[in-house]
Amino acid sequence: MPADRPTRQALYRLGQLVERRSPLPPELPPAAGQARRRVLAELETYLNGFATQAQAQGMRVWWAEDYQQADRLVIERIRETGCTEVLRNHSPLFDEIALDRAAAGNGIKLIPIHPGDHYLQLTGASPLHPIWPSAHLGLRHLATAMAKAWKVPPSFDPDLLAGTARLRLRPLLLAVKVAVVGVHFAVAADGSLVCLDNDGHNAHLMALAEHLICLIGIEQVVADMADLELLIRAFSLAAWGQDQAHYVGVIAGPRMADGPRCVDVILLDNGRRRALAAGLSVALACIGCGACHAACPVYRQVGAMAYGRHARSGPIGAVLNPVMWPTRRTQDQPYLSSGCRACAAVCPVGIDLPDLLARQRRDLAARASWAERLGFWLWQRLLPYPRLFIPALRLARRLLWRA
Amino acid sequence: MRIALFATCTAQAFRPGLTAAGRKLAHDLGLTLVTPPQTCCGLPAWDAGRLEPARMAARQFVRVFAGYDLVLTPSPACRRMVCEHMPVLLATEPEAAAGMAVAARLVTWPAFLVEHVGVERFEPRFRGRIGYFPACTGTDEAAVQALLARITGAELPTVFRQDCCGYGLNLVWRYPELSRAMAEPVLMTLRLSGAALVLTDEVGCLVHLLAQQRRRPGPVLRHLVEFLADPDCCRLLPQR
Repeated sequence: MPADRPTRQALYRLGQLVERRSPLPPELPPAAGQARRRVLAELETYLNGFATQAQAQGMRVWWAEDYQQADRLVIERIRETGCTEVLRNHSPLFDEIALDRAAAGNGIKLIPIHPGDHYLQLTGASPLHPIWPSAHLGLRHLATAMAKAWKVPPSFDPDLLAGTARLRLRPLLLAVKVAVVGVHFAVAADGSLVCLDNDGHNAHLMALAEHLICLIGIEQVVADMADLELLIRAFSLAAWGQDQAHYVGVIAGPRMADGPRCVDVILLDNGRRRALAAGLSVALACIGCGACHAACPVYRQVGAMAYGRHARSGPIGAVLNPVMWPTRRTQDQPYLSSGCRACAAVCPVGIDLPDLLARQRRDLAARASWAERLGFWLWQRLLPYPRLFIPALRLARRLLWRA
Repeated sequence: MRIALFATCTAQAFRPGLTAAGRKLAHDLGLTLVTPPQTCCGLPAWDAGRLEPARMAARQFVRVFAGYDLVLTPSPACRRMVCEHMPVLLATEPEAAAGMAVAARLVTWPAFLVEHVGVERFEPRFRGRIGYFPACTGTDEAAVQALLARITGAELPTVFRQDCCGYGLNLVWRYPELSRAMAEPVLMTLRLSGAALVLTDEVGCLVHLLAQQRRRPGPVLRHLVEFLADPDCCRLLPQR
């Protein structure tokens, strides 16, 4: 169940990185949480408001009920342009809808322009973390994959490898016609879409592409620019330990002078409305910073790969996935916890993750195995009798605890 | 003052010496410590989301420990179960008020020793480096620091940064490989610190880390109470 040693080492370093940061300002999580909850309480109103404004700006708005529909919508938009080589940015949304697979199956070359994502594609590895997707790729593994894919002499010099990557990726960026962009926030008040990053790849894509196909989960709507300012700060502090993102890219529709000529925005449901209906709007306040992942001692042993291709992984994923995408595997996730509560301390929107995880475990108790049910039946019967209970516990350890 | 010992099922089953050490320590300090017949606070059932067994354990807990002035436990995790989750379980039960009363009188050993006994009664001695592993479930670090400050002869008594050993939430039987893997970085920290002795006030962490350490090199692991109850490690001064 734990990931291999190099992955665990990378996860441990991520954990250290996050641990060394100053704690969040105490007034931030309640304020940011309230801003998110206010919108989620009337999500449909804000979504319709966003759609109206976006359309008024000249964007085309599409609704995807599930990930298959999202794939179809993206592929159709790409087909309309006639392009077969398309760039994309880094976003966990692409993993959620498995767009790489759908594009390949439809004869479209989907190239991630974010170096980390590009390396994942080269090596076939799964993302490690929503913010640092490729931190677990070892230098040798990566260098070998690059040499094979790009037909260049193999080298283990990081500077040389970075230079090679730049030489390969920069021309693609400069020549981009169509880009698929997973965005962070949609502003309901004026219909704009916002991307955050520290290296500028989103801003470049937004400025250079002629046709932008934007993808966003329906829960990432914010009310207005004031909310946005607060949430950008919350996200930057929790994801990167910075007060601000280095680049804040805002798309406000197609322009005549510069920027894209055509903007499509696809609003993705894929189980989010199911989560709202199940009373998990508090959990949908999540802005995808990944801080709870890096703080979680369980996640540090297994990585994002253990949670499957879903909207979220880590502690927040363990809360949302069993409801958004109920399967046997996702319904095991709320038990992947030690109860240490490290996640609650780092969440920038104040989600009480331990409490929600306990709630999920209560809701899922009915589907326990017969062995577990028998175990607890015995536990309950022996509870009043110390002379039976304690030896039974010792026996149980010998039989069950392979740890 | 009538004090009851909430020994915990973990200690009773896997570290009976800890219960004996607690009783001895109390006796040497001149306190009346009672260990009523008891089993479990219900935390495993609560963690598994099974409210009925957990509620039954809660009602039993209140029956066993009502009527004492203070209840003492070697596990912050069990204390959290009683103080945070038991009131929720008993909210609509007749034992609700009694449950709140017991919870209000439940303390872990560091807090008890500092507030009710007084650190000046302890003269711990240890030659070598001592470390302290705080439980993720709520070690009273201020009390621990006050106790560590009393140790003479020890090199750099250090409270390690909080980490999780992987014992909690039934991981030991649900995901044993994961539970084992989570103990590794903790044991590495303890080993690399160079400490000869590492203390903790959480019996769950102690039992789990001991099991994972097995035959590997590393510090001696003991509960704070076992350390203080051992006359080779700690002289107890009479009450003034």
